[in-house]
Amino acid sequence: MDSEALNATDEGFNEIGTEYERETGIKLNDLTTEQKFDIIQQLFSELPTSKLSQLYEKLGSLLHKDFLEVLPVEICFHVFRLLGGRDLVNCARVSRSWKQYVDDPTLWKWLFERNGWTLNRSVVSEFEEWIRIRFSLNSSNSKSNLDETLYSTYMGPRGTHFAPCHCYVRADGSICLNWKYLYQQRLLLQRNWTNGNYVLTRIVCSNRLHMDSVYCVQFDDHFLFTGSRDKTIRVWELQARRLLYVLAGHTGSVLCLQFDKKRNLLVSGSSDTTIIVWDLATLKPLQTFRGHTDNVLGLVFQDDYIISCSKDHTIRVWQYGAADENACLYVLRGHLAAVNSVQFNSKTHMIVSASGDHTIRIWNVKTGQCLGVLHGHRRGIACVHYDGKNIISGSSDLTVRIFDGKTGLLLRSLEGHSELVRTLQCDIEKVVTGSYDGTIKIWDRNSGSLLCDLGNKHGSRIFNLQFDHKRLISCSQDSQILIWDFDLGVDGTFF
Amino acid sequence: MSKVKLLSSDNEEFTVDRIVAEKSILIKNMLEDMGEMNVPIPLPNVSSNVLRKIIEWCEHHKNDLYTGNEDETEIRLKKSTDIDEWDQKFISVDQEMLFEIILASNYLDIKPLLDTGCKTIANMIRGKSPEDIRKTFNIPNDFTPEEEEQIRKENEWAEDR
Repeated sequence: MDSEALNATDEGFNEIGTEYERETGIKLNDLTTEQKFDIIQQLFSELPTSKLSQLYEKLGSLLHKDFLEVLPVEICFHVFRLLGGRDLVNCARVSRSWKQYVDDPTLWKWLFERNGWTLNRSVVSEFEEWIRIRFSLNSSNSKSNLDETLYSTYMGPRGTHFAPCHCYVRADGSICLNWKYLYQQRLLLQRNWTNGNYVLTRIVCSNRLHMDSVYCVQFDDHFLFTGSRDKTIRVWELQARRLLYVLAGHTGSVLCLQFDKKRNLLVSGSSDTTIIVWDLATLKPLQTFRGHTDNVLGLVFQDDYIISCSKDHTIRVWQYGAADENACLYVLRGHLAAVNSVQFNSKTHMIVSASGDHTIRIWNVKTGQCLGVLHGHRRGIACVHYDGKNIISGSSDLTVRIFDGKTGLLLRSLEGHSELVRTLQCDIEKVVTGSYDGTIKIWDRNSGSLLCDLGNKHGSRIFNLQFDHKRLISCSQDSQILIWDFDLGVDGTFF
Repeated sequence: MSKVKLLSSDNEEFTVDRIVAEKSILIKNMLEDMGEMNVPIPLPNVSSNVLRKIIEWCEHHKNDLYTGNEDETEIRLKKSTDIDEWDQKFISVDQEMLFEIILASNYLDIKPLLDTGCKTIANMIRGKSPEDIRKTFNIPNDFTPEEEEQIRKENEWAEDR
């Protein structure tokens, strides 16, 4: 054997190649790509189909490569971030290494936040505290039993319940929130809203409770506040559905209210033309604003502004904490009929008001100047929402209209209610409306399509509603308060 | 217009307009730091056949505006499926070349091209069953049937209901 052939074999040339070279005197390595291609094409035409299909399979494995093995980690994540939850779940089923990539919490956290979803911050910090405790116990190495108990379940001070499924243990032993699980639960919660899966609790206000129509509701995790035609505001413990306090002071119906958790204050507007700021610690009025000459129909309490609208056609901007109670910063005039609803966005400094004169007006809170008038409805407007992005309004022309918040262009008209649309609230994905036709409807904010009609469970005109991630609370003319819980079958610990 | 010389890993020299070369933030920064250079810029991570493709892309996009700020990145990510028609044609290459283009655009710091590459892979996954994804990327299924069934059950929630 000559030394050249020996070397060639040692270098790992395949046998067929060397044989071919010996017989033809052509060195494969000396051929250009084009020449190789020509030879292979010729060979192909001479092969039986069975051999061709073998080649086809081999070719497939040469042409198709697992990009997780080729591309750097951050680029693979970039690819996965472009996919939705459903596709990611299919990716997790591909192989072990894919599953490891796709189950990574940072990916699901990103997906969760991309949907505009948020977590209850106080529960998250409680969870983090729990993890800290768990870690300190772990490092002491002596209390593993207690540690295990902690790990299995944990009851927080607010009745929160942490479980192993909430945790994701990283390769380095650190623990973080299991974002894939949170994404899953949040998705199920969303489906409950669109499929109308809820548990209904009815508070029928007898004499002992509210004696008359309930005009306004607001709630947080613990408390429910309601204002009524019986001139009182009632404070309820939400979980127990129990009446805690009665705030009496208005001499007319309580038409609107807003509470401020941080400052522990509640502001209410009444048909007695006044606005009262209540101290929730003492349950006594702190301040009374007088100036409107007719019913106070709506109000916003934000930053140091109290912005109220009235049947007297005006909007008033008051400074909370001002020494002179009856001096307001501005009286905004321009509407030709009652101003039914008012909204304020502190980022854009804009006030948006809706009136019985069929128009929506936009005002600058710093100058009191009217910046624009929207003529989108054919009849009076009862309610409005404004978050900077959109202005969304409900009217006695039976429609709900979505306008661009910057240009004022009409984007969508939601039709389905058979009487005046009295109240609405929106989040990033849905619009919930309540009407004098007694029904509450849930709409897709982006497409404008009706997601779910909750039907007429009140049996009378709906005056007001509010919702958060988990529940909806509505009130009506026949003095009923309905609590709709949508977290059926969902672990809502973190929402 | 000033020209820039680029040298591929296999020592092929390419002469391109500076504006074209500057689609690569890596090269742009190099030129800004070092001023005009007569010697070719060595790109040891990019072979000539890939560099040729990359230059083709940069030529086509030389007048595009790209600010590179984060907001824009988010917007581009949201519009995750759309790839412009020319780019779609450009990126219709075999997987090896696609991955090479992605690696090179990552190295050269050409974000819009990197995005196009990643979107192309994402589009190869979107809407496919696990088995189809395995076929697309030639991935062996290393789950036991029991594991497979368990993972399927764990992920049932994602199905539309």
